[in-house]
Amino acid sequence: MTNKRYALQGLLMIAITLFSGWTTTLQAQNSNEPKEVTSTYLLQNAHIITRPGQSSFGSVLVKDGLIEQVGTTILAPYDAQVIDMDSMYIYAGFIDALSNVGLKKKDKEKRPEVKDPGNPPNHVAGITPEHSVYDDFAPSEGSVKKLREQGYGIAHVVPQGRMLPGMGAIFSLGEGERAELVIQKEASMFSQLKSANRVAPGTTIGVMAKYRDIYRNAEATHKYNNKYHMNPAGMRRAQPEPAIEAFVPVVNKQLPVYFIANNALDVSRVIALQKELGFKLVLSDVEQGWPMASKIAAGRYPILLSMDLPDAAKKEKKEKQDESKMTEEEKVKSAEKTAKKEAKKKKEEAKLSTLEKANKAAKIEREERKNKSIKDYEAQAAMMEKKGIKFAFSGISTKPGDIRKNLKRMIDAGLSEDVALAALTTHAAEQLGISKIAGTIEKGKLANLVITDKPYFEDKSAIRYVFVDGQMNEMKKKEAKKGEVADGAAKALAGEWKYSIEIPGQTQTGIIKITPEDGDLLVEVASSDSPGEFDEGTNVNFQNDNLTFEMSVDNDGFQLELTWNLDINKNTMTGMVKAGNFGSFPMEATRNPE
Amino acid sequence: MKYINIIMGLFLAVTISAQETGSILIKNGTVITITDGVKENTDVLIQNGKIKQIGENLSAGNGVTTVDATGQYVMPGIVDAHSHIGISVVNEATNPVTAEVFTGDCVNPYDIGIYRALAGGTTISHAMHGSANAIGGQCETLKHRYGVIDPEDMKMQGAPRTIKFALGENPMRVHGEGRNITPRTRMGMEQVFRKAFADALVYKKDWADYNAGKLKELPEYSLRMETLVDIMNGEIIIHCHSYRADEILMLMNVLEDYGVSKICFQHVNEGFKVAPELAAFGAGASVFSDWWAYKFEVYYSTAYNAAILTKNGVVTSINSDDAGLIRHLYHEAAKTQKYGGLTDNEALRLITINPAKQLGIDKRVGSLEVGKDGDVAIFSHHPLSIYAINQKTIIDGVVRFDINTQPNDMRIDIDPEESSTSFMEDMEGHEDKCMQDVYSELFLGESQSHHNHQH
Repeated sequence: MTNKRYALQGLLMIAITLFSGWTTTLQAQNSNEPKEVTSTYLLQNAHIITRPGQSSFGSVLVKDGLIEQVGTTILAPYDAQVIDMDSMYIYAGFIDALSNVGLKKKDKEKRPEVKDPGNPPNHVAGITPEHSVYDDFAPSEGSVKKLREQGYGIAHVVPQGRMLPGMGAIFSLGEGERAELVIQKEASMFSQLKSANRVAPGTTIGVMAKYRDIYRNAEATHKYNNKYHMNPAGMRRAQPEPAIEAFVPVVNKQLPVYFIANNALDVSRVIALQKELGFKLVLSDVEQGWPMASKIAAGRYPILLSMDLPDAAKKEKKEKQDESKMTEEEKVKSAEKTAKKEAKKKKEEAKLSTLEKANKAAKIEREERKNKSIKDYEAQAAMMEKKGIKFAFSGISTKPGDIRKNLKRMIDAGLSEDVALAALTTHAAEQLGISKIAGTIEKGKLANLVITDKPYFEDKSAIRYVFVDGQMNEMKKKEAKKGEVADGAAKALAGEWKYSIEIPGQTQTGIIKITPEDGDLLVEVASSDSPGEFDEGTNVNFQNDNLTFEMSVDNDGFQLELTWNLDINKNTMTGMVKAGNFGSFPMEATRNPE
Repeated sequence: MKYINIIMGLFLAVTISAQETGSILIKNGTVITITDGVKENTDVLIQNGKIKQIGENLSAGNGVTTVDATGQYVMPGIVDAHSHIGISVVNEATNPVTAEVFTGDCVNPYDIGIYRALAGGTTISHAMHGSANAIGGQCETLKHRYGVIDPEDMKMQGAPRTIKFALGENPMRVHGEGRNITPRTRMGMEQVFRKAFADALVYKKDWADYNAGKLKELPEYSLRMETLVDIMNGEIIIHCHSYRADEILMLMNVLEDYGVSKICFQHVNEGFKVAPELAAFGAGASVFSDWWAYKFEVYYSTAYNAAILTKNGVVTSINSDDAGLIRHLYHEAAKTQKYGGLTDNEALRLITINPAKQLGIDKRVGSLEVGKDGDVAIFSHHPLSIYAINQKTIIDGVVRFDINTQPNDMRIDIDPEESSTSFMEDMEGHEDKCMQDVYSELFLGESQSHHNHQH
């Protein structure tokens, strides 16, 4: 899910070669952006969910990045921007307990050239516990904005890689420099059962054996160093081994180990390692933990549940038309049609051999079991709640756009809204050790707030403001009423469009996919250079046969905003694509026949 | 849909533990004890997982299930000394020596292969590391308690540690041809073993010196070396993939030099040539009944191998090394009656007490004796008959397979995103073979289907 290359890389590269002199100008402009007028906000007339299960009606005063006051009536200070919330809902900013937000997407890994695959250098083996994700975090990455727009104010970011990619750090998802945003630099050791690419450790069993080796060596090194510090006489200095030394805090239980354990077997394997070695374990991004629930409860392991879910079960197609709207004649015809269908079906079934019949029945049974399995995944959080296992949510393998949708599926499966909210706020804060500054709406805490027009978990509620460190982000409300646009737009736009963009010296081609989704329009674009790798458009607007959307393209830290402005005429589109400050390029597209 | 609820119930009932044992009375069967003859019209009483009594007209306490085995054959659960089912990883093929890895780390109790093995009366299998490396990983002895959720519950607690070694073409091809490192030849193979043991002796001495204050710097901890030291200390039984007589003799010489005696040769197709030497060394032999010629080093073979080894006093077993063959090991054993004229008892020993001896678990399983584990298979006909069909398989007194009452779909862990709709599609990529997880390009262009049969 993570290593998706940017679809419009080709366009970007051409733009860069054509106008490479502009790069520095662009960056200079970024730092000259005007500062906010005030850092004091009074949010009035709101439902304030101070913590899961507790709410009141009143105001929140935000000042200099912190929550200054929460109360029924607060007088506006002279410098405050007063915003009437009009009975909107204010929640504490969400916290992602495990994330890759702000990290550059990794290039496709080349197969390492190692002479002896049994003894690869540590970085090829995926063993770099000495590395800190702090060095990788880039606040300008588009993913930071995307997660912030989902209501997140803080994320525990861990490095990408294999078995031991390095140490995690806790970041604010506000705007600013990395050094301003970091809350805790070396917060965790990140671990996975992920093997190296065709060198040792090449399998799960290789990883587990290597983990024991590293742990035991760190343990021995720690003992040796202690002894040396007491009295170095007669002892040689320990030779520096960065990976082993970085692991010593794990042995000392100073650094918790966030260990990815997606499925039941991995949970049991990770627990087995913990029992044997004794490190401080946080079971992380668990998708299928319920079969091991007793083991998890018995070991009192902190646990982060994944917000990713398998695709929902397919709903049966509505074949029957609404009979109430039919005339008598139509009703008779419809009944005849149904009877014919049934007869045909029976005839076909009679032709089947015993084996074919059995296969058919087995197929249906399999489908039922598969659907039951999907339900089990949806019900994991509810089951943990019932068992009294406290959990927070991790978003490391969940698309930001799926978060609310998936949380709803969990709630439909029995998870209480309070616990769902706690897993996004208070439980995550406790797990990360930042309860004093985040997780609830209280005086003195960080002004991280999510503001929605309806209760967050209610259907069609929308996030309207997100405050991070007291900085306000306002989400544009969609111009037209959703349902109305969707119906018209669906017909006018739905489908796959083949586009071509005229850039001097080259024609860039690709596909735009437009899908109506929950009363919204989903616009995705993939360039022919990397077919099938779609990027999602934002701020999609469709009015008077004119479609506009934006897209953020990122390559090696260089960010380019693409603005699409297209006129639709039945099955053709014409218009322009604006590529940052590089200019606008003509574009046309035709709809693929279905 | 009732059965689905039962199975899902199993999945959720995480309280089922390894210690789950049952009591059952099997009435009036022909009891093949293996070690104490065949007893007609005899009952077997299993209480709390252990065989309590074998005799006539036994009665059990209240609430104990009684099974009528009139006209049926009751034998000890079949033991397979060489298999790769029930584990997610087979080969850590990155190095010629990987003594540090352990298949027990990746037991997969949801593998449907375990249930299929139960259907063939097999109650225990030796889940081995593959044959890519000269010294492969440590192996796990599994009890086929299909239905348990926790991998730990599938393990046979208390079974001795074992490790996989491999001779000949497989490690030579993977490391020698594939990577241009030792071993490329059979001479090189010998040096890999000698160097590994020699290194382990140095390692052992370094730590002894360090702990005695004689060494001034900290030696590196190595799970690989620790394991090799344990082998030399007699704590681990070696199971060595082998074919040719010369290399079998070579390894016995190497082991003698390093004071290692616990070994069972696997496959050992040319074992018939060195049967007296194997017997003298005390080595076991675990063979295929009649499978050979799947690569050059396996051409000189005979279906009389098991019989010749047996007659020479070698503790011999017949293994499956395969998720399909494990379902009919009793047929495999029967072949030794055609090729070599073994008696019923000699033939059945090949799949019961003998493999149990090779795994060091013969005190607990492999025969029907009072005090042993309640692991039983009940066949419709004599298990060496071609008409034999397994009816029930019992482990620790718990019925884990029942041909009459269990549903067709016995999968436990259902992939919520599965796309296949048939059981045959399920099998693809799950061959549970000896060279599984070895990267295909190491086979120098051999096709996938080809090296599925590299045993």
